[in-house]
Order: sequence, then structure tokens, then C-alpha cells
Amino acid sequence: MSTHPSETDLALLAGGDCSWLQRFFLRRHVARCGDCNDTLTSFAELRSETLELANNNAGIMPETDWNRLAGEMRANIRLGLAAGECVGEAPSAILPVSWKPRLAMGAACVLLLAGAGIFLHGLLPNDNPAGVVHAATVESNSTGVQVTTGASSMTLMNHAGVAGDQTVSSDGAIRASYVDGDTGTVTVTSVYVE
Amino acid sequence: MWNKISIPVLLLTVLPAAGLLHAQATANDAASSVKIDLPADSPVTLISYSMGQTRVTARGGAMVLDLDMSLTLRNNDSAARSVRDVMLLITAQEFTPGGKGSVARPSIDVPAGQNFTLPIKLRLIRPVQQANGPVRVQLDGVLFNDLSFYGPNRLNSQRAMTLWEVEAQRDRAYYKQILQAKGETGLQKEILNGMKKAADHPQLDVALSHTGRTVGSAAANLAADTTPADKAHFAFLELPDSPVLAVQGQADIKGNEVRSPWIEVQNLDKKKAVRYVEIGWVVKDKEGNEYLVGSVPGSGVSALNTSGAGSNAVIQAGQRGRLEPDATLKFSHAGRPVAIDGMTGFVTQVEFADGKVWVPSRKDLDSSPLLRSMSPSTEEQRLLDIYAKQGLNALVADLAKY
Repeated sequence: MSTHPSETDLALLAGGDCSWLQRFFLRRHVARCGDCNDTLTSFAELRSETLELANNNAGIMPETDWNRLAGEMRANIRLGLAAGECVGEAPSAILPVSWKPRLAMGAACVLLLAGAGIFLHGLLPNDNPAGVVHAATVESNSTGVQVTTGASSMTLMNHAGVAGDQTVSSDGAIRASYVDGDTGTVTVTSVYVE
Repeated sequence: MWNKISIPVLLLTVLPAAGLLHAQATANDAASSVKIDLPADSPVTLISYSMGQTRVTARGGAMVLDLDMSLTLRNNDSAARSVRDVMLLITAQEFTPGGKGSVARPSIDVPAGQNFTLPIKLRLIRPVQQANGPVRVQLDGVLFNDLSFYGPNRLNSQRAMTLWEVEAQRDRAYYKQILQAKGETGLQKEILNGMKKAADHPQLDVALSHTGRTVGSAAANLAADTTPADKAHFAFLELPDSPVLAVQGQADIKGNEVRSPWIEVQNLDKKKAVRYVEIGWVVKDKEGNEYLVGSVPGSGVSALNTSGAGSNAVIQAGQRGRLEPDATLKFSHAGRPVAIDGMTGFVTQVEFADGKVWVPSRKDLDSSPLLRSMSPSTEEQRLLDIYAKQGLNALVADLAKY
């Protein structure tokens, strides 16, 4: 070996953690190189001092059961994997396209029928419940005169927001008269309760 | 993905499309369902009509139909009389059964062979699910310059238009007399007084229903309302020339509501029977403000010496009769109820059995501040508008026409 081995390799050699081939070459070099032999010796002394220190402080630092720690770590990893399987596969950002034409056509038919029902219902005669009769009421306001029956009403409007001159007859009529601003003619609108 | 979004998408497309079809159909119906019906022998004929800004809109659960029509009519009278007044009957039975309307054009002077227009601005509101029926426009009456009348007269338009025309003749004669006696300066002063009087004329909003026909929730409310009403008596103003005297009258008053008014009148004429009387009705609120709200009309008055009232009932010369309309009225102003404190009445119109009519003279109307607060006649409204928009010379020219 023409060059000196690294300190890492010498540390591994001191701890006995090298392969046998690497150990063979390192030991050949150390046997002929004083510097590397000194370094290897210092690593070996440091290691023995560390072990001695650990043995001396056994009361303060309890024995570390590396095997127990490794077992707990494996158990936690298995627990995490089991939980992941229970949750299932994580959803993808975009759902896969699954075109269901039957369902769509069915929904379309139902909605078309509903729309047709609404449309045709409007063509039916008055659907007031039998026996319910609404009395007509007439009233005046600023926009015109109005006759109301139930929820329906007919308003004869004043033109262009002109306030009509209004009067009520207690026989069931309300009248508003106003001058049409464009033509200068008078219009009289009235509503009546029959 | 389609199974998750297809239903909302279809909801957003199919239903509005169905609604659009419905609204479109209704809009088309709006133009086509207006039926204008003039009798074959009518002296006025339909030249054309326009639908203007007619439109249909949906508002919540209701459909709103705005009709902005204008009818062009022609005076085709074979006797070459001028048309003074026209009244059209408007009905929409599918919208407002039990109610109807009318549009009239008084105070016109249309010689034979000439056209004139009549606007009809109408708003109909009905629930979406209710039937959509036609709006019928029919001729109810035409009044000519010689006070002759044509028409089915279902709205008693002959009486109304005759009274308008008599009032118009009275007011035209009054302003002509002022012009002759005091010149244009005097006429101008009188017109300005008239404009001030019209501007000072306070108005109330009124809702009216027939008491005896009130049904459904209104009837239930009335039945549940056991609060006793106050009996209030009418005070009367006596007009010196009136052929009918208001003797006594009463109504039930509760807050802003007046129910079942009645007024007893006496025919002062020694020869002619009276067919119709109308009593002007002024109400006073708790603050002392007075409003001319309308009238208590007596059509088919129940004469006290006869049994019951009919459409042809009359008050014979010298006899008494009773005006007893079946009505409940509610008064409000600017959306707030107006509590009634008192009522005053005075005779405003009389129709004799022979068709002649009486209206108060200008002298009668000037005899009391209360009477001066009466609404101007339709002709006076028109004359004031001419002065306001076109000036004194135009007014003088109009008075010289007829």
C-alpha cells in the first residue's frame, strides 16, 4: 500500500469491524508504518477507555438493551403499516373517469318529466281547492288602482309615474284620473268589485 | 366523475330550459291573448293597436304580465257627432274573478272621421301554477257632444261620462266667463288659484271590500275580531241649490276602518224622481287633517217608503231614501293606517229618473273651504295642464274651440 489508510479505516480496524481482506491489508501496512501503528494504538486505547467508562457508570446510566429498543422500533413500524392498510389507498388528485350512461340518462328522463309536469301544470284550469273562495278587494296606491283576488291581481297603472287623482266609491269602485304628459289628455282608470 | 356531476349539471340545464320554454310560451300568449272586442255597429272602430313594452317576468312564485298597449280608434259616427268620452271595459277573469277594470278618456273633442288614441297600461300578477287566460278589452260606452250615448253600459258608463261632461261644460263656461269679464290676467290668476288648490289636495290610500262577501281568511278575521266599533255620525254640508238633502248618516268606525256606512237622503224636487245620488265623503283624522276620500253612492237606492231596493229603484219627489252600500273601507297614508275621527258628507251628484243630472255649481263649490278641497274635474285637470305646459295663449285658444 503506497499511501496511508484513512483514519476511518484504522478506527474500523481497531473496533474489529472490517472485512477480513481489508483487515489483512491494513495490518500489513500498520506492521511497517509507525505513524499508522500509533494511530491504531490510540483508537484501541480510546475504545477500551470508553468501555471502561461505561462499566464504571452503570449505576447512573442503566444498561441499554439495544435488542429491546430494536424490537420496539420494529413493532412501531409494523403498527404504522397496519394502520395504513386500514385507511386504504390514498386518494388521487383527480378521480378516475367512470362514465355511467344509464344513470345519467335515467336522471335526465326524470328531470325532463319534472319539467314537463311544471309546464303542463301551468296550462291547467285554476287549481284553487274546492270550496275556497277569495273575495275581490280594490285598492288605490301611488302607482294606480288595483283589484286583488287571492294571490292574483290586476293593476291599472298610471302613466309615467304620474300620481292620479284618486277617489273611492263605497259601492265597490276606485277611480284614478291623471293627465297624460305627452298628449295632454286625461285618462281615467277604475277598478270594480263585482 | 360523471356519476358525481351529471345530476347537478342536468338540474342546471334541463329545468331552466323548461322554465324558459314556459316563460316564452307565456310571452307569446301575452301578445296573442289580448282580445279586443268592439260591437259591429260601434260608432268608434279599431284602427290599430300596439303592444309597446309588453313583457312577462317571473317574480318568486308569481308570473307578472305587464301590458303597455295603445289603441288607435276612429270616430266613424254616421251622424257626424263629435266624441266627448269613451270608456273601455277590461276583464281578466282567470286572473281576478270578481273584479274588473275600465279605462276611459274623458274631455276629448274628436270630430267624425278623426282618430284618437287610448292607452292601456296594465299589470297582471298570478301564481305560476294558475291558468293563464285572456285579457278582454270591450267597449262599454261612447258619449257624444249632444250627450247622446252608445254602448252596452255594463259599468254604468253613461252616467259617469254624462256627469264628467256636465262638469266639463260647467268648468269651461266658468273659465270662459272669467276670461270675458277679467281678461287674460284675470284668467291667469284664476288658473293659478286652481293649480294651488289641486296641489293642496291631500290623498289617502284606500282599500275596499264588500262586507257581505268577505270570505275565507278575511271573514275569519272579522269573526274573530270582537272589539266593538264606534258608531260615528256624518256631519253634512248643505248646498243651496242641491235637489237632494242629506238628512242623517252613520258608520261603524274602528281605527282606520269604516264599515257599513249608510246615509238617509230626501228628494227635495217636487216633480222628478231621483235615480242616483252620490255623497262626497270627507274624513278627518285624529290630528284634524281632512281628506276627500271619495263618495257614498246610491244606485238603486232603497226608498224608505218602498220595500227593498232594486237596480231601478228611485226616490220619488219629496220622499226619503237610504244609501246603504255594503262595504268596508280601510284608510292609510304613506303605508301607515290613518285613524278616523270624524266624517263629513255633501251631495256631489244627482241623477234624475229622466236621465238629467245635477252637479254643484262653481258658486256652490266656493261656498265652503271644505268644498274647495274637492278634486278638480277631469276637464279642469286638462285645462290646468295646458296652462302649465303650453302657457296662457294655448289655454285661451283651447277655450275658444267649443
